[in-house]
Amino acid sequence: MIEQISTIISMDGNGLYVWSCLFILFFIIGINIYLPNRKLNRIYKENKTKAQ
Amino acid sequence: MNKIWNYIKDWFIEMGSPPLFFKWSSKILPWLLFISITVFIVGLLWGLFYSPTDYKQGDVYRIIYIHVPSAILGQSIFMFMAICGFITMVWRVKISGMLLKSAAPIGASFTLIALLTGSIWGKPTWGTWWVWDARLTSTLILFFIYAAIIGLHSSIDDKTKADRAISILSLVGIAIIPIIKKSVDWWQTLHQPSTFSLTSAPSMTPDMYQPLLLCFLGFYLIFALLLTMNLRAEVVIREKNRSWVSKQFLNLER
Amino acid sequence: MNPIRKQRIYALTAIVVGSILAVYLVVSALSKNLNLFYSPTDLLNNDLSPETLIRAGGMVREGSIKRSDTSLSIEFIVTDFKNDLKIQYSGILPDLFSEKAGVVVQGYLEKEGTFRAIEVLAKHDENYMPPEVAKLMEQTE
Repeated sequence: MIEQISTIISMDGNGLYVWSCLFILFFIIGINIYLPNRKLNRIYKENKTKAQ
Repeated sequence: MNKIWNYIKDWFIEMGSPPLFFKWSSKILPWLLFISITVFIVGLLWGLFYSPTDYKQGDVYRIIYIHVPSAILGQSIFMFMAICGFITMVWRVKISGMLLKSAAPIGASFTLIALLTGSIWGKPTWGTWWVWDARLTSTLILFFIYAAIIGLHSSIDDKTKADRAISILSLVGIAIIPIIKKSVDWWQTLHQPSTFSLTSAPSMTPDMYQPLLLCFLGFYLIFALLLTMNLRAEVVIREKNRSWVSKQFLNLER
Repeated sequence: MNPIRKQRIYALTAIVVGSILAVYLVVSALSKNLNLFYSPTDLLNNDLSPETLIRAGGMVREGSIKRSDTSLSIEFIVTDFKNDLKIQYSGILPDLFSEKAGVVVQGYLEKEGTFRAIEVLAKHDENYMPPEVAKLMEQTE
C-alpha cells in the first residue's frame, strides 16, 4: 500500500515536475476564487454597518 | 426573423441588468460550483493517474492535462473578451463591459499557468526552462496584453470610459491569437506542433485524449465559475450606492 | 439598424482588420528572423563568421551517434533529409535526445563545416502513445 502511494507520488522520478504544475494550477485558481469573494464580503460589511 | 432577434436581444439585456443578474447568478452559483469542480477534479485525476504513460516521455507528459487546457483557455478568453469589446462599443451594453473587465484577470491567470507549466515541462524534456522561439514569445506577449488591459482599466477612474478603452485594446490585441495558433507551423520552433486540430484525428491514443477532452470541459467550467464570481463582485462594486445592492445583501445570509 | 451603430461597426471592423494587417506585415517582414534555428540546408551557403553564436536544428540521423568512452564528448549528424551537419558536443544531454528524434543545438559553425555545440536541446513531436502501442507499431513496421 505504502509502496503504491510512493510510486504514484514519485511518478518515475518525474513527480516533482508534475506535482509542482498541479500546485501552480490550484494556487492560481485559488487566488481567483478568493479575490472576488473578498470584494463581495467587504461591500457586505460596509452595507451592514450602514444599515445599523 | 427580426422579431426573434429583438426578442433575444431584449432577453439578454434584461438578464444582464445588474439586479436581475445578481439574483439569478445567486441561484445558479452553488450548482456551477459543484459541477465545475467535480468535472475539473475528475478530469485531472483521470489524466494524472489513470491514463497510460507515454512511450517516450514517461510520466512527465501528464503535464499536458494542465498545460494544454490552460493555454487553450488563455486564448479563448481573449477571443471572448474581443467579442465583449465589440458589443460594448457598438451597442453600449453596460454588462458586456463588465464581463470584459471580469474576464481579463482570469485570462491572464490561465496564460500564466500555461507559461509556468510549459516551462516546468520543458526542463526535463527539451533540456531548458525557456527559449525565445515563436510560440513561447507570442504567448508571453499575450500575457503582457492581458496585463496591459488590467492596468489600463484600473488607471481610468470613469468606469464606463475604462470599459471602452479596454474594449478597443482587446479588439486591437486580437491579432496576436492567429500568430500564437500558427507560430508552430510558420516558423522553426522548439515547441512541438499541436496534437489536436479540427481537421484531423488527434495524434494520441483514445485512452490519452479522452481524459484531455474532459479536462478541457472542466477548465471551461472553471472559467465560467470564476467569471460569474468576478462579475458578481464587479456589478456590486459599481452599483454599491444603489438601493438594490443593500436590499440584496441584507436578505442574504453570509 | 441605427446608422450610428452601423458606423461604429465599420470603425471597429477597420480597427480589427487594420491591427491584424499591421501585425501580419511586421511578422512577415521579420519572418526569417523568427525562426529559432537554421536547418543544415540554410547553413550550406552562408557567410556566417565562426564567432557568431547560432542555433541549428533537425533530425539526428540514425546510427550517426558516436559517444566517447572516456568523456562526455559526443558526435552526431543532424539532417533535414536534404543536407547533413556534423555536430560535436561535450556535456549533459536531455533525456529525450535519441536517434531519429528532433534536436536543436546552439553553438558555432566552424570553417571546415562541423558545428561545435555548447548546448543541445531535444525537440519532441506531437505524438503521444502508451509504450505497448509504440511496441506494436515498431513490430508492424
